[in-house]
Amino acid sequence: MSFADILQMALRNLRQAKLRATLTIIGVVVGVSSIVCMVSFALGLQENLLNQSLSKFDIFTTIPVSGASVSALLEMGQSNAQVADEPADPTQSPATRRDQALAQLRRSAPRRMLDDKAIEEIQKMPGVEFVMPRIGFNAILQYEGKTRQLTLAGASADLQRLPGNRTLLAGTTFSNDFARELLVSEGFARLFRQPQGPEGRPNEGRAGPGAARTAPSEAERRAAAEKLLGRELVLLTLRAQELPAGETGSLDSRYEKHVFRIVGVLSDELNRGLFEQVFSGSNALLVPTGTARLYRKLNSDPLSKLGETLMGDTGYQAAMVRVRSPADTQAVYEAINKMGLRAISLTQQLSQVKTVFLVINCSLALLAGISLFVAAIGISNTLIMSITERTREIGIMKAIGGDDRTIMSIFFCEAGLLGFLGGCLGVIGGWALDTIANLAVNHYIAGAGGKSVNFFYIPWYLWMGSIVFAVGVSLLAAAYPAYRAARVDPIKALRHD
Amino acid sequence: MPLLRARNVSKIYRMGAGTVPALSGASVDVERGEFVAILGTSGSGKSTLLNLFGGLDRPSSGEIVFDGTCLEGLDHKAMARYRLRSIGMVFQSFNLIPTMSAAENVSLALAFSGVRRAERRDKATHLLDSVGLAARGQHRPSELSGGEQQRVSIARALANDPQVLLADEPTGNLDSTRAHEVLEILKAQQQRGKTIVLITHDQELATRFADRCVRLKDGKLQGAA
Ligand SMILES: Nc1ncnc2c1ncn2[C@@H]1O[C@H](COP(=O)(O)OP(=O)(O)OP(=O)(O)O)[C@@H](O)[C@H]1O
Ligand SMILES: [Mg+2]
Repeated sequence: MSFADILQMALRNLRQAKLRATLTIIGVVVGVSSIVCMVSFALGLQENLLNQSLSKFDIFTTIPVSGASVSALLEMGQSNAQVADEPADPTQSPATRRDQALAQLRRSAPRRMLDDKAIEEIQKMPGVEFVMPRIGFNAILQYEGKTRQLTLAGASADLQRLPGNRTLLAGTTFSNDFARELLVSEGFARLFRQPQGPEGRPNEGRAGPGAARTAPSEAERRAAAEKLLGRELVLLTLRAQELPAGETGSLDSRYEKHVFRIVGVLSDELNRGLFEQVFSGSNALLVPTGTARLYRKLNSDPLSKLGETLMGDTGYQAAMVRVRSPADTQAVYEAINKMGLRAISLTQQLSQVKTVFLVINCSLALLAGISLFVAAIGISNTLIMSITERTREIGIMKAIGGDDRTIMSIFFCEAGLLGFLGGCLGVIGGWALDTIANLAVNHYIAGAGGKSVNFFYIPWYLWMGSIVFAVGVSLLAAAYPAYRAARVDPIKALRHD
Repeated sequence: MPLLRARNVSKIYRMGAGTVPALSGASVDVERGEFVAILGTSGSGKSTLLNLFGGLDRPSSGEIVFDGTCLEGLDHKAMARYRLRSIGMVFQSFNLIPTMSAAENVSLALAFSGVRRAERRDKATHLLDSVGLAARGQHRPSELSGGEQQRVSIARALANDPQVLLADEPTGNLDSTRAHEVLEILKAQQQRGKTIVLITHDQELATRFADRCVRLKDGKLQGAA
């Protein structure tokens, strides 16, 4: 019997019990819809969190690198050789073993100083586009009569080298590497705002509740950024020379004022990435690298100064390595770690996060799968009922020469049809539910002044997979009924009424 | 060599704790092209024997030989093939599939043997024509009389051009005129070279149409020669 004949038989059988087939299909539809809904929600979450937001950043081509800390450097200056070569001895006391474990930990921590030499070495690696050391420092700044302690960071005049590929909203980049110039992010003014009172955020509430919430347009943002250009900030440093004993002097005479001018305003748009956090905090205050080096020295605390004096140099806290293409990331990452520095490959971290999402997806799918399991029981039940009703028919088919395989195929085909129809309708149902839920939530979000977000994501492999899965489960559910159909004894069946 | 033979066949049905011997050492040879009638009282094991010939069941002991091949050695699949190709069965209660038209019932047997759809339609029409039902192909069994249904079932039995027709009281539900019609068809098939095994209660019909009558008694065949 050809497949077309079997399909026709199966369809005929289903048509003979339309109501039963419909109810069975509804069971499958519910199961598949819930799978599609749940998994598409999880995938949407992943898409929104990882792919959408992270792909804006240069995470696949950027490797943060850190070097040995001052304390590690000091320690290694004395005992590095011994720690590295101590052989393992199984007869050691627990205390010694603990010490060894600590030593092991220490060994896995960066052992090398991240100094200019190291940076140069990394720069020479194949695939490396550039290396930017992080030169961050704390400083006390005055702006419009308010004083704050803030973190500043050195940045190249080349805007391409900024983490997160941020764009300039207004102004220009630094004129030279030692200029007292600042690049600020557009939300910079917030840093100098009064602490929040219990009444709520200061920039809201003044205007009407609805008006304040709508996001500003591109032009408005540009205009606001233009206004910041040319404004001045005062960076304070302690006077290097102590005053002679007994002499108090005026307060002003004890510190120096350095005037910085805002030359450019960076868009806040990409300001929430991981690298912003690592390199410049979420509110970037960037100065030229030469300037940063100078003020880092001026403002460093006595302990750091002492460390530097002892070691000669303590290097940079961290650096950012940009590779030319994501394909280079792994090799460069490994080479840097081999140098004794510590590189973080976000590609790896990302794959771990992806694994977490996979687990979430699978558990949601499993939950939804339970309803498909129930549907499968429904399919089994339907088929068994159908077989009971058609025992005589099966007997006749056998008596006139139908073989077991053909008879089994008919029932498998029936189940497959139920699964396929249920799967298709289930995907449509899941998509419809997603759409409705999305509309409802976005309606609410729009009411609250937010940007609309697509919470669900149905990639092709989800809907295809769901249908295939529904068919597969149905075939599995048909295994026992089909086996029973094939086992029907024709003589008994023909006696059967 | 006989086309179909039963050799010392026994069939014992298990009923709970006890057993029912339906056949005990029955032997019969049916020659190629022969029309044999099997007679016997109700419960004498006629249907049991025919089902064994038809490959629907297997004997408890003894053997059924078709054209030199012992059915014992056939597996499930080969047995189905034997039923499909070599045997055509006709039952007292017709055993047509009620949800299919006469033509579809005949086509089903053709479909099992892999005949193409287009060819199937022609063949089914032709087969129905040969039993005088050319006009009733689209009718369901419930829309046909008993005699017509039996003629459809004969058409179905002939579908794959088997060598043997096994008919288990094909006239049991029919009046004598219809019974004669049905047996005329079987007789005509014998003349075309088919071998016919007929079970009947009706001594008169048996002697009139069959070449030879055998009688089942106490699970054995008498006059089986
Ligand atoms: N499946 C079965 N299980 C148990 N006993 C059976 C079974 N089939 C037949 N028998 C018994 O075997 C014996 C022979 O039955 P069979 O149907 O062959 O008789 P028959 O000669 O065809 O009778 P009838 O003329 O009434 O059709 C009967 O006693 C019957 O009760
Ligand atoms: Mg009988």
